[in-house]
Amino acid sequence: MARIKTMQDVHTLHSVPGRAMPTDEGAVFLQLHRLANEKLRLEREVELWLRKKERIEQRMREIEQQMESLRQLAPSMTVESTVRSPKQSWRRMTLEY
Amino acid sequence: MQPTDTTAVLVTRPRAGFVETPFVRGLTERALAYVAAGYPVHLRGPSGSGKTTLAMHVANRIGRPMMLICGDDEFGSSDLVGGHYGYRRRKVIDNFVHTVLKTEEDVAQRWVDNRLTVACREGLTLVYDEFTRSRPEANNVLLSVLEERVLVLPARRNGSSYLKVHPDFVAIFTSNPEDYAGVHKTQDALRDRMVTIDLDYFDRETEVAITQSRSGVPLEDAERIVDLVRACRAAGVSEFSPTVRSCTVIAKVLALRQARAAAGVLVFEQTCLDVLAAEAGLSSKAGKKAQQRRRDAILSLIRQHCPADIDGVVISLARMA
Repeated sequence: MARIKTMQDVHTLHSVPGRAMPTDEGAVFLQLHRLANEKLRLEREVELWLRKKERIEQRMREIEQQMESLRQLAPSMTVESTVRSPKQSWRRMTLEY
Repeated sequence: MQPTDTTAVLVTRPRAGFVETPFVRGLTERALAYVAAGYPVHLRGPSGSGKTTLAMHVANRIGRPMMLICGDDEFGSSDLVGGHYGYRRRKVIDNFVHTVLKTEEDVAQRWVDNRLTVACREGLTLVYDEFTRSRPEANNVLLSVLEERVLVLPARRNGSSYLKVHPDFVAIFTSNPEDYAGVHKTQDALRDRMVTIDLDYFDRETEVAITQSRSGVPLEDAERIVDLVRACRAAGVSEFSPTVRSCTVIAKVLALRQARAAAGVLVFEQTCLDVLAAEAGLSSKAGKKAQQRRRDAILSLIRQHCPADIDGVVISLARMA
């Protein structure tokens, strides 16, 4: 499946790497403080993300089980889930010849 | 530019009972080979020789959505590539600073791509049915599409004036011979860019299979009807050469009225006369005589090809006078 674009792909001032070189000890301290904060934020984000991933996987397992039990009830029915791509936005008309 | 809401593409599908005899398969494979080699295919043949159906079958085998254009004498280039249809009005009112009011307004013509442009851009299979019914100059735009793979658009179009043709774009043309009414001569330059397959009427096996499949009549009836129509065609009895369409019309009526294809069956004889003896209306005495001769010839051919000794036929209806 193609990678889905999200807001994370939008470059912001935070995600654009800084270019200025530290000039003195105070600037280095500030830089360290900023990086420590960012590391903390990212660690928290990873933790949240892992928890969310766990919840999603759990829900997907439940859905799979439900689908399996429904398939056993009606074996001849097949349902395909597809992601709509821009190309599929055509208005299609079937023509029999 | 994304296709507009009005743009629809066709997905072809053989109808239930579509007949693919070795004759049809051979033609399809030939056409697909030319398409695979990168050449547009031109199917030329008389009415009822299956050009359009074959074009759709080839499009189906190519596997891309199809765009259908039907040739018309009124066509111009804009009917193929697109044109300016309607206007787009834009008005901006900027009152961000409450003491300053700035307005900006403009009206622009709205360009709408037509079918050829959409097919070239999206790599669809274009079926240009009866393309020689369009005037030759309307088809000029196809020359660069087929050779240089570039669609030249009017400079006033929004966006680029040159559109690079999608590599998956395929063109299939169909046409009647040039002596048909309402048909223009093909441009030499255009004909030179495509591979022309001349089609004749289907072979007997295919005509029988089509007649039986489309109507559901027994095989023996389908064979009798096809033999009768082929005999009429060979003898030149009808004003217009009857085709497999005539076979299916007769067979469908027989199936509907539960009649058999045998001399002496009123429904069969009447249907054959209606379908095969049709002509341009002639009210003169000579015209009526010619029509009577035609009807007599058809009745004679019916007796020859559809004798009354068919299984299960009970001739209960009085014969026509």
